[in-house]
Amino acid sequence: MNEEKPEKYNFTSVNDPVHGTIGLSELEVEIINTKVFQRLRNVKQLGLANYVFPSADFTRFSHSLGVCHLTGKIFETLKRNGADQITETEIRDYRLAGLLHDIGHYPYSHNMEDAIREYYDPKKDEYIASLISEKSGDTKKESIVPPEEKAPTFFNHTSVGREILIHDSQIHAIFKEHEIDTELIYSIFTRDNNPKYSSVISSDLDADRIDYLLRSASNTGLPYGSVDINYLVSQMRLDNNEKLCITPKALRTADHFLLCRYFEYSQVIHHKTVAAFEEILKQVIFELLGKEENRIDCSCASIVKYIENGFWNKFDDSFILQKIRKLREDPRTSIIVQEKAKSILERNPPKEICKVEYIRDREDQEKARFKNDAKRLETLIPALAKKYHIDEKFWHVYDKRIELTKVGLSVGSNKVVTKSKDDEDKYDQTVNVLNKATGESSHIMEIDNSLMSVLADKSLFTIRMYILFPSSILPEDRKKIKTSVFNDIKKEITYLSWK
Amino acid sequence: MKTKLIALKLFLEELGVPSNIDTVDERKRVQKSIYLGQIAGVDLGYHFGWYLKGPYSPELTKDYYDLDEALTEGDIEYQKKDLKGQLKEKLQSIKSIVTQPSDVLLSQADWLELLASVHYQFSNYDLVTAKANITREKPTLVPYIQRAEEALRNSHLLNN
Repeated sequence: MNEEKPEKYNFTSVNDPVHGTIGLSELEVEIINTKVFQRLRNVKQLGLANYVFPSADFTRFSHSLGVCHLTGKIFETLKRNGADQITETEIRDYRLAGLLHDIGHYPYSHNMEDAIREYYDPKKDEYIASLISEKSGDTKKESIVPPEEKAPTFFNHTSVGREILIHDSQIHAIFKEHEIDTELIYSIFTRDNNPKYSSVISSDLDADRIDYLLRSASNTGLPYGSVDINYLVSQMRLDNNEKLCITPKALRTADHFLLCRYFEYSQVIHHKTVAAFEEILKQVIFELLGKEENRIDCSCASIVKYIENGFWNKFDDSFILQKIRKLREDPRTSIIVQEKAKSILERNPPKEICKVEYIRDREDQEKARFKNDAKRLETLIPALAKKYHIDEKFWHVYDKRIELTKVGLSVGSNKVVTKSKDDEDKYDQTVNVLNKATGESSHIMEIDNSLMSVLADKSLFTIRMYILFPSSILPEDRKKIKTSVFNDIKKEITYLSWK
Repeated sequence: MKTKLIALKLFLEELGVPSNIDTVDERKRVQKSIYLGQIAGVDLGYHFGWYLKGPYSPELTKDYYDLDEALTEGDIEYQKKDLKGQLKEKLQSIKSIVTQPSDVLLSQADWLELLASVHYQFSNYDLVTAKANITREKPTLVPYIQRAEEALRNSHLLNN
């Protein structure tokens, strides 16, 4: 493709409940028709949130179309507002990156990715520890068992996406035919090597988060999608450093957007029953990863193999659900795991026993105190499990923080911080507000009249304890146990306001 | 210092590669040395994809920044540790190719980029495609492709 022959985004159109008509180019339709993209029809965006919000079962397929559409819209706005340097090829590439940004999600998205991380991380740590020894000078002391040849490692979903773009034969052929730079496309959504407009796809105010918020609101029935997105997008610009930003006129709308995201997240993802089911799902998937027979191998090498041999295209929510059914029916499965599988299959949620919730500064000391509180609660589990004759594995302590922005107000004039590489990337992803006089932009939390200048430094801290009651405990006894455990916890940890 | 950072530091020391990361070339030198050490059989668990400057691991980037931070803060725990003997031997076996030959007019970082790129391309694509990819993307390194290939084969890092 060259600059004289712009891509036409009206080759076909689809109707979307969030954006109305979405126009697509011929190239985009080719991508959408690949098996690996069609797989996204069977990967739900919100995991098990539909157990609580019945219509929240939309998939990564429709979300990906929405992100592609919004990416195009943002670029149109930027060009209209003077960013003449943006080429047609760049628009094509960024739309593609939007379309493909979620291509590497595992079944049940983050639930499975978290289970994989928990499964592989300790194995990798153990492996790395096996590579080194104390410096003693005495080589005879060294273990005669050589370390394994390969480290047990896994991909996060963006890295799986990168591997799909490299190894999937259909995608590869389309990219080759259209002379698309594979590396650029995956660099946009992995944010590696910082492609210049990657904040359009991945930042606090990007096509991904905007579509997510609108789609979630439209499907959960919650009112958090009422942000004036059209206005917000219309006020997007590139500053003198080619950083994505908004004009000061859209400051209120940006604050509103970030607030709505916070409410959506705390009401949907963080919902007590959704969070409980997702923890159980993660634990069941963890079992599937470690099974002696027919285990699901999610090591890097296997994932690449799955992509190459096409198995990845069947590796979706239904595949995992079927595995959970089999796990439950397998007589070799422990009673505990069977109960957890049953919880997922029959919608039998763990019960929240107690919780403590507060808003405080998002600084290290507070975070450490919060972690200690959660740990303290965890230490009570063995004794409580014994007292109530409920196995420890049915108990769970949930601790999460929610923040409104990726980073707090640590770049302001009166605070000095050392920024790690990770932090720098996060700062790059905050909402930027244009200073019309200088042509440069500042982070929203540095703008005195933004809500974020106050709220970005706050976190919502939540600790909850759950019990998944096994079938052997009668429903009438569960209420009594709940009350009794609650009182025990209140007596043991007196300095927190348990609810 | 985390165990993985200790392993990373010891790995680089064994190859004689400094862990400085102030410049692009220094970071490139670390990336490509780790890539070569891993294919020599000392796997630290970094997965490399193809990026502008050849094989690149984002996870490694994060770790060498963390290592740099730990070293800047004066953490020298790694000095009490050692890589296992058989791993040192594997790294020693490729030490000679980590430095560019005297007749190769490239910096060490560029030489390492070439070695890693040739290995990655030759291992993932047929010979014609691999050479075409390197020629297209790394024109300044092209005169030395054959030297890099020979060096890799002599060190038994390339078998196909």
